[in-house]
Amino acid sequence: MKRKLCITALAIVCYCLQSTLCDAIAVASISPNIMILIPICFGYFKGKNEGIFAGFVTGLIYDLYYTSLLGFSILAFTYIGYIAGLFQKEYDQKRMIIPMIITIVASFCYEFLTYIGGFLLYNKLDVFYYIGRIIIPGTMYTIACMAVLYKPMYILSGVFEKKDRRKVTEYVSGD
Amino acid sequence: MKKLPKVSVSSKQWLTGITIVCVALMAVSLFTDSISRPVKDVVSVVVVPMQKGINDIGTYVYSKYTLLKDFSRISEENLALKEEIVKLTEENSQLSLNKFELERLRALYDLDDKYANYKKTAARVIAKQPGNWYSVFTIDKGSEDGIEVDMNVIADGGLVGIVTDVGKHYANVRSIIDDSNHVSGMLINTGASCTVEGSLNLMDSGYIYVKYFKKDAEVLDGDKVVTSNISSKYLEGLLIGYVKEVTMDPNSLTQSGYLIPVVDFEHLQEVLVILDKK
Repeated sequence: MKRKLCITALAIVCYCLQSTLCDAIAVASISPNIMILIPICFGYFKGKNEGIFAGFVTGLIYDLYYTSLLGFSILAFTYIGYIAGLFQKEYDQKRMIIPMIITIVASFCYEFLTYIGGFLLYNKLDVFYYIGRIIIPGTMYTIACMAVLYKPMYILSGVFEKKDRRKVTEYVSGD
Repeated sequence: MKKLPKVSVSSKQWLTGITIVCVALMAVSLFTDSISRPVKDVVSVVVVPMQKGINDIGTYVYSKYTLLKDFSRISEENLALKEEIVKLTEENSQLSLNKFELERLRALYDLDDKYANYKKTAARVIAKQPGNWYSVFTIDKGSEDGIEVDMNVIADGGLVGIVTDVGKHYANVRSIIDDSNHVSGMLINTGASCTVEGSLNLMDSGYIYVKYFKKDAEVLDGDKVVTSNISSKYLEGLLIGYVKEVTMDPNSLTQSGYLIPVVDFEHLQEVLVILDKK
């Protein structure tokens, strides 16, 4: 429960940063998407269930204020968290290459789905312009943020885990 | 003590459950936002003050940064002034630029007088929609301050956008450069009607589209476009921007071109919300 509250708090903090700071550090009007990193990191470090929860919470906050289609980001982020969770424990978690690849694929797919829903269906057919000008730069910037935030995220999830372990040992000794 | 058997739900079941819930949510949210309204109100209690705080810090840092930048600029200028006479030509061009700005500011001043009849309230921009696709931002005033959906928002003497969603202490404003925004406008001198459309394609140039002038309308570069009297949501006569490069469309029935917005959307910090509605 404590963990879940922590993830929720983290999602809210990241949302505030996303809507203010990320806009301020935008390069050529392209800002990174740090919200998408939460389900990826928690899924990859802690497994499928954690990824699903993190994705659900971040997606909900991401969708809440601006989109008229509530539920789209929740769905996308939940699946991203789940897929990131599939790679947990299969690779050395100190290496960044696998989560990086997950970030690239996830970010690209998410942005492309946004394009289809919000633009392609409104007769904006210039696919390559949008991919080249919005989706790829956005993805690159998100990866750069992942590179910076990977270590803090890793430490953060480790901190939570220590508390969990202590709880388990207390429980075992009490039994 | 005997432990109760724990109900375990596998991650696949979670996933299926969430998928069903989300699809239902999406379907419902197409018609109403009554489901998300309470959640929005609760979360905004936490989020809005945080956004305000972060924004205050950002503004403070930015002002210090510009101060530093100005300082280095002044010292550079000082050095350059000492150097050569070539500088004089540069100064000359600088002067003509200033003259242009003065003219523009004078024009804006006139317009500001015109808008003075409307009841307005000032608000600060505290957040922007995440993602790179849309230009929707949040201001720090809401229904408690008398703001309602469909109120017009102006800044720098020009139209910024329209309020699309109102919470207790925040409101979302969709700007005119947003890809999904359309405003019906008219030329201030001839009254020729047109439609102003935001566009993501033109984000690098800073222009937006102006379309559907009649084929016989006489449109010159620099003509002022204001909101039209036939618009259902925008008040009449708010300056939108200046026309640029209007040409005949391939269908030979309409003319279209670009529009340079008056408002600097990159550095938008404070806006005025017009409390009168059409």
